Amino acid sequence: MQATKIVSGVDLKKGTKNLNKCCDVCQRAKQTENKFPISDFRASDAYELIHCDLWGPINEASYFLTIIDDYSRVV
Amino acid sequence: MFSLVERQFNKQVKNIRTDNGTKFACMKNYFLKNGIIFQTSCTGTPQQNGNVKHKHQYILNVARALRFQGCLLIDFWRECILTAGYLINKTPSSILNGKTPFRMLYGCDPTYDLLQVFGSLCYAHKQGRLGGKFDSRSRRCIFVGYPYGKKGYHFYDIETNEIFISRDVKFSKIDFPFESIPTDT
Repeated sequence: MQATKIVSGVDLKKGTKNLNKCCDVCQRAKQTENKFPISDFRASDAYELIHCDLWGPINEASYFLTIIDDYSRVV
Repeated sequence: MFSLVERQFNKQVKNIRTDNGTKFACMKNYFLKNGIIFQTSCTGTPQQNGNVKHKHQYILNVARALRFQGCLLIDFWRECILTAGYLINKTPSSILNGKTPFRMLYGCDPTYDLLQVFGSLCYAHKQGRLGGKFDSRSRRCIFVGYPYGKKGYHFYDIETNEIFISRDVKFSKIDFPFESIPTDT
């Protein structure tokens, strides 16, 4: 900002050694979750990778377990 | 399940991915012993288990549609979910370039001539005929699913409230017996 003369009267040289440090105040005030990239991994063969999760509860204590094969996406 | 995969497809399960739920923790020792890599997501990051989470959404969408089409009570949720899974496996998917999951696994196209209208009225032939010659020869029931490993269908008997499997059936296809009963309960 100083170089492009948008702001004047700020002397950045004073604090240059701290410029790229992880600042406690900034982290407390502004930290967010990391970006989540979309995975491009696909299993190359059946049953190489399977995904599991439980869904529920329904009717108080009933669940169902879903198992998916990453290659064929068979439930 | 692992021995089923090994025998049927001659494949070994290599990786299992799931969330941090304690329900899978008890199987950790088994995975360790059999050399299966057990991947769990970081806490508070369901995205890392996104594949199955999206599938749940898909299954539930289909299952809800089945339930409301048949005007069924919530008690039939199991049948709705299982039938949704059956249908999804035979539905082409864009991520598989328009192929069905069934084809990806078995290498051949599924047959669709066995599909029936979920929740529709049908008449199953009464076997045994215990009541004598003047007794009813059929049972009024609704179609509720496809049993695994049997050439027949699952039916719910409207009069006796039991679920059974039969293959001697006439399907009406357009009548839904539960239509007149509200589905909110």
